[in-house]
Amino acid sequence: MDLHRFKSRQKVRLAYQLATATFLLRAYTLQILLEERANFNPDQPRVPRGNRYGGRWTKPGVDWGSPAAESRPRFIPISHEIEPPKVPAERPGTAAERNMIARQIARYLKGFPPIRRAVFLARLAWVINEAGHTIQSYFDEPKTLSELRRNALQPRPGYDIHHIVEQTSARRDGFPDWQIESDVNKVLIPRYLHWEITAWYSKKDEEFGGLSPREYLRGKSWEERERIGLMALQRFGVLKP
Amino acid sequence: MKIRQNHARFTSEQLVMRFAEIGIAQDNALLRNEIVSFNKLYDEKAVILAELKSREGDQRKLLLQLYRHPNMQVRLNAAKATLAIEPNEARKQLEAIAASGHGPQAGDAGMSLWTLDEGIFKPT
Repeated sequence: MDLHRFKSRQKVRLAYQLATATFLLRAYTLQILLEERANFNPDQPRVPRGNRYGGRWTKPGVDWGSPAAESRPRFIPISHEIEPPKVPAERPGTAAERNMIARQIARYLKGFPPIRRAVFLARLAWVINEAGHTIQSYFDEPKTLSELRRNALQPRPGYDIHHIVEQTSARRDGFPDWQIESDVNKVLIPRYLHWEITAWYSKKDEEFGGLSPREYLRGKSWEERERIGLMALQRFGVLKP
Repeated sequence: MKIRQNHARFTSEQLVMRFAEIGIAQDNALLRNEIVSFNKLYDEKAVILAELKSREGDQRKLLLQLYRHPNMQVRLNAAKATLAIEPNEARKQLEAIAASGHGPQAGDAGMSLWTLDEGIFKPT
């Protein structure tokens, strides 16, 4: 790589890191301001659940609205059942430990809106430095197959190239390199989802009679491998149904 | 609790407890990408299931209580293990896990549903 291109890439990388840090800092500041300005009294009475205005602040004599069943349907958020991960302030010494914590954070934050994710992450400097891109990519919406294939032509931090038909087992079963390494067989997907799918292929499962999917697919046709590979991408939330 | 041999010595409740412990350990193994550990735990789980199934009245029904376990891998294991005895309830569990988006169990549950529909997965 020539010096000019190297410098240009460094410049883009630094600009990206600066933009990320600025965003997180603003989110954190915003949260502090909101908490300070809220000035609410937790003991103030609220409209009881089951009424149209259930949950809102109230005072004696105010209308609670009709029973909820008579009002129009509304969005009911599903509560997070999992506990927030315990994140050490100091960066753990092993990569396995750091990866585990970052993955716990990613799956915990997946159900939250972007601002709450940013606020949560803003306090975890070592996690952001270590796995910021990778955690962020875990929140991607599913994409079309053509988008995923096109993205594979330009790899990005936080993403991995994934072979729809697994490369090692396909090679072992005699499929040619041109087919395995073809652009049609490669997609760019979020790293943690790549790990989840790869683990799924390796672990023993009841549905394949106690074999792993990789063992089940041994000796099967390219089409069958591709069918299962695409379905895995879909069910793990990478590919649009 | 370690149950490696002589499963007949343990009560069904103890086996259910160990089944739940295995699910939690498998979840940790997946987060660490330790697939060998996951598969060893799978083997132990299979022995426990065979023991529960062999007991009078098929004691796998005790695993239904694990549908509300806080750990998603435990719930997933319980749902798959009870498909043969409570197919409707177990399927609903799998659908709920798949819809939760909680990785990697959501994807795993989604693939279980697909293999059931395709006739690849035949619960016994």
